[in-house]
Amino acid sequence: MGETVTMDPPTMQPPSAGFDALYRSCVGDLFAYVRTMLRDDSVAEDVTALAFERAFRRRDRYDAARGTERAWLFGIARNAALDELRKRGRTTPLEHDVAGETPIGDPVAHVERAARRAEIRAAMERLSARDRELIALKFFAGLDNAELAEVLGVSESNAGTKLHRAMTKLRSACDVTA
Amino acid sequence: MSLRRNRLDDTAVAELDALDAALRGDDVAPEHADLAALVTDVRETAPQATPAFLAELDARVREGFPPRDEAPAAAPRPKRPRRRLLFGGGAIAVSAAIAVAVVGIVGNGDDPRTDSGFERFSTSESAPPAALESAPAPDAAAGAVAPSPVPPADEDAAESRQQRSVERSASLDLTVPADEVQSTADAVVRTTDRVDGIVQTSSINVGKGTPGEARFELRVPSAKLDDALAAYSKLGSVANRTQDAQDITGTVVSAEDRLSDARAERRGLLRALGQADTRREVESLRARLRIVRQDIARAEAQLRQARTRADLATVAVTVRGDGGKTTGSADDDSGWSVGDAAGDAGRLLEVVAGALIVGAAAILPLLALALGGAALARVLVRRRRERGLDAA
Repeated sequence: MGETVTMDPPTMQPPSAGFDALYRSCVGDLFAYVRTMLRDDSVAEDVTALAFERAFRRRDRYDAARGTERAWLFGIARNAALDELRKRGRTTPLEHDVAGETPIGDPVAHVERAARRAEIRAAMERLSARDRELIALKFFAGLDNAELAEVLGVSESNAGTKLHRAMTKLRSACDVTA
Repeated sequence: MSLRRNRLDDTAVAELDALDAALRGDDVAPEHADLAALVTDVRETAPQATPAFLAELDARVREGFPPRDEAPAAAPRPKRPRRRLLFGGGAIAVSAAIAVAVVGIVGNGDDPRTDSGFERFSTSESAPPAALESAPAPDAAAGAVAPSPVPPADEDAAESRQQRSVERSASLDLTVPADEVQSTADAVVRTTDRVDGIVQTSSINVGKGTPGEARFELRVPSAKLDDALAAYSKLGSVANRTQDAQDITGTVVSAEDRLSDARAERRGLLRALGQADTRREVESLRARLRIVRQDIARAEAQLRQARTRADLATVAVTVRGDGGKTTGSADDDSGWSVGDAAGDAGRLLEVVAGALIVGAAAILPLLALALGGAALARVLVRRRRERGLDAA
C-alpha cells in the first residue's frame, strides 16, 4: 500500500496489475464501509461497483503526492455514497442477516459471539452517521489517520480528534448496550 | 503524531496508538486490552459482500468495466452542469466587473498619458483659463489690433477702448538631423525676416560630438504669428508646440488714460500760463509743466510698450539635432546598422514587456477570483454532499 498504481490509459482495456492489486486489497473493506454508510446491501453493492469503475476510469488522475491510492479510492467511494444518500433523502435501518450464520465449534461460544456482535451493531446504530463513518473507515477499512484525513477532507489532527470522539461514543454505547 | 498532540491529551493519543496497533494485529498494553477486544468485536460485525456480488464485480474488473445494459440502481445523480456553469459564469462576471472598476479607477487616477509630459509630444495650444475667458480668438484679436507704435491722439483713445488688446506668445521645439542644425537655424532667421519679425536673441551650439542646438527669442507681428508658426514647423520635426494668449486690454487702457490725463493737465497749465500776471506765478506754472511733460513721456512709453506687446508676439524656437541620426541615416535605409537593429530590438522588447505587464495586471485579479471561486465551490459541493450524511 502506498505505491502508485501502474498507469494505463483510461480505455476499455483489462486493468493493469496495479489496479487489480488495489481492487483485491480493498474490495471487502470498501464494501463494508459503503454498506455501513448506506445500510442497504443492494445499494451498497451498486455503489461499491460504481466506485471501482470510477477509480478505474480516473486512474490516470491519481497523484501519489496527494495521498495513498487506498485513501483516493475511499474518497471516490465516499462521494458516491454521499450522492446516493442525498438522492434517496432517506435511509433504511441497519440490516445484517445473522440468521444464516452456521454454528462452528462450540455452540455456546457461538451464541455468545453472536450476542456480542448484536450488541456492537446496536451500539453502532446509536451513533450518528458521521461517527459511524469514522468507525467504518478505521475499524473496517483500517485507514491510518493521514488517510482518514484525506478521505474526510480535514487535517490529520482534526481527523484524530474526531476519531477518538467517535471511538469514545462507541465504547459508551457498547457499555450501555451490555 | 505531533499534530495529534496539539489537540488530544496523552491518554487519547495512547488510545489511538493502541487502536492502530490492534488494527495491525500487534500486541497492545494491558490497560488497552478492552480496546483490542473492541477492535476484534467491531471487525467481526463488518458487513460482508456476497460471493455472487464479488464474482460479478471480479468479472467486470477483468473486462475493464464494459458498459452495462441497465443503469445501476445506485447510479450517481447526474452532474449539474447548469448550476456549475451559472456559478462559474457568475464568478467570471463578478471578476470582470471588478477588473473593469479597477481599471477605471486606475485610468482616472495618475495616468501618465494625461500628464503634461505626454502632452508636450503633441501639438497643443494652451492659454490660461482667465485669459481665454476674456480674450477673443487669437486670429480675431490679432487682426483687430493694428501695429501702431505711435500713441494715438486723445480722441483716438475712446475708439481704441472698443478693441481688445491681446498679447500672444508661442514656443516651438524642432528636431532635425544633427548635421542640419545650422542650416535650420539660418532658415529660422530668414523666415522671421520674411514675416517682418525681429530676432531678439539667438544662440547656436554646433560642433563635433554634440547633437547641436539653436535657441531663438523672436518677435513677430501678432497678425502674422500663425503664418510664421506654420513656416517654422516645416523646418523640422515638431517635438513640441504651444501657444498662449493673454488679454492686456486693461494695461493698454490704463496707459491711455494716464496719457490723456497728463495731456489735459498740460493744456490747462498752458492756458493758465497765458493768463499769468506775475513772474512768480509764471515760474510756478513752468515748473509744473516740466513735471507734467515728464509724466506724459512716461505714459507714452508705457502705452508704447503695452501696444508693442499686443502688436508683436513672442516666439521661442528651439532647434535640436537628433544625436542618433544624420541626413544620410534618416533618408537612406541602407544605413541601418547592427546598432540600429539592437536599438530596435530593445524597443520592441520594451513594448512586449509592457504589454505583458499590462496583461498580467488585468488577468491576475481575475485568476485570483477564479481560484477563490473554485475553492469556494469545492467547499459548497462538499457541504452539500455531506448534508446527506447528516440526514442519515
